[in-house]
This record gives sequence, C-alpha cells and structure tokens, in this order.
Amino acid sequence: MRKLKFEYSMELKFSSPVNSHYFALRCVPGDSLRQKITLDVCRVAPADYTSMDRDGFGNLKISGCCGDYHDTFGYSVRGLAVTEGMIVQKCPLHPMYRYPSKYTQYEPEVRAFTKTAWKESGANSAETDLEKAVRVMDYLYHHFLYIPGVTDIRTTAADALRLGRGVCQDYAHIMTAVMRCAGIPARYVNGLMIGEGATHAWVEIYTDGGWYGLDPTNNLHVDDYYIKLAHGRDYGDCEVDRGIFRGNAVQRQKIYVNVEEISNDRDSCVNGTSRG
Amino acid sequence: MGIISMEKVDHLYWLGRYTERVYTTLRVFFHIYDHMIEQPEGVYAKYCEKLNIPEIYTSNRQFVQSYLFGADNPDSVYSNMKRAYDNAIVLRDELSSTVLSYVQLALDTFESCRKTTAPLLELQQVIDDLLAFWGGADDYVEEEDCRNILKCGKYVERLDLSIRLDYHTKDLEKEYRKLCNRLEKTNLDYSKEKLSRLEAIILQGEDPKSYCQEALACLGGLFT
Amino acid sequence: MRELIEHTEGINRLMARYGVKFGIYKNGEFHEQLFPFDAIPRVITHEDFQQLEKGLIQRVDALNLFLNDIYGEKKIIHDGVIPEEFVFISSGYLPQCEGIIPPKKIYSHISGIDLVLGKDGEWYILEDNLRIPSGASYPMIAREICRRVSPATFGNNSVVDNRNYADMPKETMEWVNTGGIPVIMTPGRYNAAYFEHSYLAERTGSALASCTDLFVEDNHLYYRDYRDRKQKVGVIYRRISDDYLDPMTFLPESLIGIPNIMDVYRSGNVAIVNAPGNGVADDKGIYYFVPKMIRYYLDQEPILKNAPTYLPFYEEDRKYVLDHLENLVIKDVAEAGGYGVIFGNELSSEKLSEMKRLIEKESRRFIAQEVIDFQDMEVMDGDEKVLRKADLRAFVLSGETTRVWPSGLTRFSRNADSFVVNSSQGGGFKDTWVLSQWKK
Repeated sequence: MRKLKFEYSMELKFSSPVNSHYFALRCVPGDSLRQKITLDVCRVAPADYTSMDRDGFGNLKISGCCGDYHDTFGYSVRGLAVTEGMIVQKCPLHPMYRYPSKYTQYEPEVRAFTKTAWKESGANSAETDLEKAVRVMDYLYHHFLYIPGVTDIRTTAADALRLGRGVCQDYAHIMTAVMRCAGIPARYVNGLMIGEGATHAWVEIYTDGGWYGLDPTNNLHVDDYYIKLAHGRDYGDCEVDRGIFRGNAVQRQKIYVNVEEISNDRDSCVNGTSRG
Repeated sequence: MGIISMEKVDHLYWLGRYTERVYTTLRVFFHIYDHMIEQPEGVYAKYCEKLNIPEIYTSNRQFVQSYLFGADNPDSVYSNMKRAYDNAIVLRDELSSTVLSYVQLALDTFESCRKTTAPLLELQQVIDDLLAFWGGADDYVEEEDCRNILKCGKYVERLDLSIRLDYHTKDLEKEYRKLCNRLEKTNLDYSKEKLSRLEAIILQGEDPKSYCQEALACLGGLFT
Repeated sequence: MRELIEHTEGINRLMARYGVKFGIYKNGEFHEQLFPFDAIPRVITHEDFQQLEKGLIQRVDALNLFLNDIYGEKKIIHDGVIPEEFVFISSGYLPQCEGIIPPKKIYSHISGIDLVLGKDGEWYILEDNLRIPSGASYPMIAREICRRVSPATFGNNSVVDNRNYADMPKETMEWVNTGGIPVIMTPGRYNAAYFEHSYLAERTGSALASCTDLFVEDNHLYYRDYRDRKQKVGVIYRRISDDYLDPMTFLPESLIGIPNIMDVYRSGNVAIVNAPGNGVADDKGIYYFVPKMIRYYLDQEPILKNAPTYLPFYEEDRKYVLDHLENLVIKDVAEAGGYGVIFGNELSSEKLSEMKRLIEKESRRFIAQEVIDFQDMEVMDGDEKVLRKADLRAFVLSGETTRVWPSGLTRFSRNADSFVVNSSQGGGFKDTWVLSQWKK
C-alpha cells in the first residue's frame, strides 16, 4: 500500500476565441479496489456548469459547457491516492471485453503477431493466463519500438504493428487485441504513473475472477505507483478529454502530470519519469 | 405549442417575403405581358433596372420564358417560388398541412405549365393559390406570433417592391403603416433608428425617389 | 371499391398536394419523390388481425425485456440462450448505454415490424425495426383521402378507422415524459422521411426541432425559442440514428446531434424515443433468437413465425447454407433498407463461390433465409390488374400498455420479378384495412 500525491492539469489555448464549447472529461480518478481517492482540487474553467456521473463503463465523467467566447480552457485535479499494486480486482466480467473493438480488430497483422508472440515468448507452455500475458508483454516490449510522433490517436493496433513503433496507447492497443485474439479478456486503461510527465496507458487482463494490470510500454506489472483514470474496450471508449466548439481556431494543449509518493518519513519522495 | 425557434422565425419571415414577391411580381408581369403586345423588343430592360436584377435576356419571348420559369435564373419568379417552398416545407407544424398545401400547389403549377404557350392562363392558378395561402394562414395558423412574423415578411417585401416600382406616396404610406402595425405585435428585434429614418422618408414627404436607395437600405437592414 | 380504383389518379393528385413524399439521393443529389398509391387495399379480417395483434404484442414485449436485460443483468446470456458474441459484436450494441434505465423501462416505444403473408396463409416476420421505423403517416393520410373519394366503399365495408394513429405515439410520449414539452427532432428536410417527421409533429402537437434548437444545460434538455427563452424538454422523439445523437458520446464528427444529451438521459431527465442502443435487438443476427426470447422471458410459445433462418455462425447451419446457397436469401446484417439483400438464385456460379468464401470467412456477418413463397397482391398497372410482391409493416406502440395500430403500411415492388419492396428502391404503397368485428 502506498500514498501518492497527484496533480494533473491540462490547458488548451485557442488561436482565436471559440464558443459553444461542450466537453466530457475523464480526468478524475475514481475509487476502486486498488485505489482510494481523496480530492483536494477539481477545477474546470471556464464553464457555465459541470456535472459528474459514471459513464457506461463505470468511469467518472465530468461534462459541461462554456457558452461564451473564450480563448483558454483547462482543468486541474489534485488529490491523494491510496493505492494497492499487483492485485486481482475481483469483479464479474463484462463479455464485451472478450471481443474485438474499433481499435483492436483482428486484422491479419494482429493475428500474425498473436501467433508469433505466443510461440516465441513461450506463452504456450505457461500455465496460467497471467503468466501467458506476462510473457507476451515481454515479447511485445522487445519487438516494438517506443518512438513518439509516428502514430496518433486514430492509430489502430494493426496500424501500429505495421509501423513497428508507437507510444503507450499503441502498446496498450496491441496488447489488448492480442490478448482477446488469444481468448484472454482484456481492456484498455488510461491513467497516471509515478513521476512527472504525461498521462499514460496500459491494460488490464481478466484472470482469476478479476482484473489485473500490466504495463507493456514499460514491461511492468501495474503496482501501486499507478493511478487509474478510466477504462474501456479501447481508447475510443475512455478518452480523457473530448470537446467540441464553434470557431475556427488552432488549439495548443499543455499537460502537466506529477505523481509523488508521500512516505511516512516526510522528507523523502520517490520520483521518476514515466513514458506515456 | 407556443414556442418558436430562431431558425423558424427566419423561415417564417422569408416565407412571407418570397410568397409576396411571387404574388406581386406575377401581377406586375401581367401588365408587362400586356404592354409587350404594342411595345418594341426589350421593354423588360427598364423593369430589370427597377428591380435591380441583371438584364440577361435576349428577346421579349426569351424574357417571358426565362423570367417566369427559368430554373437556372436566380431571379425568375419560379426560383422565388422555390425559395418560398423551401421555407414553407420546414414549417408544417406551425402552418398546418392545410395551409402548407397551397404553397405546394403553387409550386406544382409552375412546374407543370413550364411548356405552355399561354402562361398567364395557367399562372392565374398560382395567384389564386397564394391568396388562398394567405387566407388560410389567417385562419389556420394558430400561433399569433407566427402570423405576425409571416406578415412582417410580407409587408417588408411589399414595401420594398413598392419603392422599387415607384408606387405613389399614398401607397407607400399605406404599406408602411401595415408593416409598423405588425412589427409592434411581434417580439422581433429590429432597428428603431432605421425604421424612423424610413418613416421620415416616406411620411414626411421627402421626395421618395431621390431617397429610394436609402429607403431600401433601411428596410433591408431592419433586422440585422 | 371500383370507385376507389377509378379515382386512383385523383387520390394521388390530392396526396401530392399534401406533399406525401419521401426523399431519395441519386448521384449525391437530393430528390423528393411522390410515393405512388395503389387503391386496392390489403384487407385483414378481424380474426386474422386479432391473431396478428397478439403475436406482435408478444414479440415487442419480449424485445423490450431483452433490451432491459442486455443493458442490465444479461440473464439471457448467462443462461446460455443467446451466444454472447451475437450481442456484443453487434454494431447496435452500445456499451455507453450500460446501466441506464429508461423512463418506464421502455426501450422500443414505436416498433415497425415487417411481415409477409405466405401462400400457406401464415404471417411470417421478416424483420424488426426498433430504431426509427417510418411509414405510418402514408396510410393515415391515404385513408383520409379515400374516404373523401368513395364514402360508399367505406359504407359497405366495416373498416376500423386508422386515422387516429398520431394519438398512439402521442400517448406513448406522454407516458414516458419526464416533465417537459414533447419534441420531434429531425435531421432536416433532406432526410428520406422528412414528410413524416413534419406531419407527425403537426398531428401530435410536438415541436419539430433540429439540433440547433435544442441544448443541454445543467443536466436537462431545453428547446430555445427566438426570444432566448428556454423550455424544458421531457420527451424527444428523435429521428436521427444513435451514432449521430450525441457527439460527446458517439461519433465526435456529428454535426446534427445534441452534445451531452446522453448525460441527461442517463440521469433520467429526458425520455428518448426510441431508446439509444436498440440496434442490438433488431440486428439481423439477433432476429434468429427472437422466438427463443419469447420463450425465455414470457414463457410462451411464439405466436408469429420467423422466416426459416440459418446462422452460418453455427457449423451445422453453415454447412446447410453453403450447400443450398442458390435457393436462399442472404442478408448482410450490417446493411439496412433493402440493401445488402442477395438472392442466391440470381448469382452467377462465380459470384456464388465468392459468396461462399465470404460466408466462411465472416460467418457472423450473414444470415440466410429460405425464400418464402408469399402471396402476391393485386396492383393496378394502368387499367390492368397485375400481381406484385408486397409486405406489411405493422406499428406497435409501447406505453402504459402495448398496442398495435389497426392498419399498417403495405408496400409493393415496382417490377414483377422483384422481391424488394423497400420504398427507397421504387415501388408504392397501399392502404391496409383491418375489418371490424361488426359486419355491415
């Protein structure tokens, strides 16, 4: 168990004022079996109103609107998370996580990669689904390059495999697709990781009656240095922020994430840099 | 239902304008058609100038065909009828099917008599339908607001055409009063400045002809 | 009846006056087309209708229970009655609707069930339309005109009046209304069914709205008028598809939706007619399982039959389909409106084997049905009576109770050899008479 102090903020700057700006945000971590959240700050501005509810996947979602003209928009979330790592979060399985979704279709690249990864990683001979998944993750980690800028938010698992490189979103999509293709239910996760940087993406696989997190970008089990924001079948189900507005403006986004451990001994902090 | 959206206000206003435009220009056309019997080729040029529409016609005969029925001619009476229809079709629940049907009938008449050799014989039906439309609107459009906005459009157009076609000051005065009467009853936002300037030109005997362009500008800018 | 037929032209002329049309896109251009009316009605006897009515109510009730179950507990899946992949791969299944309980627990308020009458005298269900079925306005207006043209015809036959159709959706909308005005939302006049949208708005006393008139504020849906006053909306009969309904939840590029309306709906502050997510129940693949649903949820035997259907997904069925492809109708489950329907007997041997490969590769994508030998109907072609294929769309309204409109839209194909009766592919319509119990 760990205590993490987190801060997550986003600022959008528009090149010219926009209006009728509607937004839906999944920037607030919710309570679950592996994390308990205390919020200190949760600010969205400018906004005429906001409301918070759970979406169909169980994630916290803030929605609202800013009707008047504005040239900046942003949010800031700060709080404390008490986390537990490397545990199976018991929960019934929703069958949708067993089947391909928009970003995780079983295209030939996905099928081929699944087959090789299974064979080469030794997953075939592993006993439990978790062990298999860990081996495949290791294989993916060593056969896919972390290179930002070559993929974007529309890149599917098959696209990324074709390119052979990408960022955390791509690692997570490939891992999700490969797991499902091999019969292990999996879901895509957005969240924050210890250190300073950006938001991160990883996966959860369904094993032993619950969800277990794996981070293929870093080839790590999801331990208590991770804070989850949202999950879904893929990126499209759980975007951290979506907005539409009126106006012809170029937008520039600035994101700040900082997660620090608070130890009982107040002076020391664990720090690091996460790769998103 | 008691509520009208901004978009519908726009449609009501323009429905009023276009039906009136078709009605009045068609009636004026009856006179032009008659004049053409004795007059030389090209009598339509002056009419085009007054209405401020491009003079694109090559002969009296071609003018009749193109000005009445030209689908590609944006200034034809038919094109204006089509615009009236486009505004009406989205207003079924405000107008009622009964009232809407007269706009449909007027448009259908245009479309079916395009090839006729005696257009005025057939187009009398359009004038009848439009009169029935206005009578129906008075009777069946339940929402008073709707009726007033529709009529605002009608009288703006009527006044606009009256100014362009050099109607007598007495007539302008009459149409101006009708417009004001309706305008007061709606809750539309309009420019009081422009209206009072228009009033000055029309009522205070300033020679309307020399102020024609200014009057038209005031009228056109009433709601912007 | 002869009177009616003699005046077919006049009836069609009156319908043109009222703008009885549907829109169609040809080469990317929008055209409005008159929907040709044939004066010979489809006649359904009182006894036959009673049976139909029972069967349709049963079917729609089961479908509503299914939708409640799928977006809730999913018992039918856990109990193994329907294989889960048929539900969760369907593009009509929307996980965004998970856990939402629609007002009064009604998902399909206005259902259009398509049937055909077999030569054996039995009705067969062709498909369920639980999203935005249209077409009721055509027979409604046709009846009004026919009664005007030939009172004697209706004096001599005791036909149940169908002109009160609008009252039924109106009552349904009132039943689920969460407290506010009713609106009918249209994607605009360039929609195929725009005539119906505007006609129903007039007849139900709802405001006809487009997306620009509606907006969400503080978890409520409002209609904005030109004086910038806002009025709360309690029920919205939306005539746009789920994908376009809320750009914040579904397709972000939708310009005809209402941002955040799904939040309002989830909070129970507005009723959406029909509910988002219904596509999972009228999926052509799920169709196969409707009789099983009826047994499962209602513990009753289905009164109305499905057309004999095979799912290539099941190995046994796949084998049969591949062996008998030339005698079957193949339907692509992703397509609607008469598209994606392939008749095996019309395929060349080359196309046939191509189709077989496709079925083997994407077995979940297709269903195959026996060609039903259905009764042709008499249609006037000039002065001549000819026989044409025809179907019936029955309208079932779910409110405080489930009711069937005592009429329906009978559509017929334009060509003698065509089985496709969809209005977007030509063809016309007939009035549908349900005879009353009391004979004259």
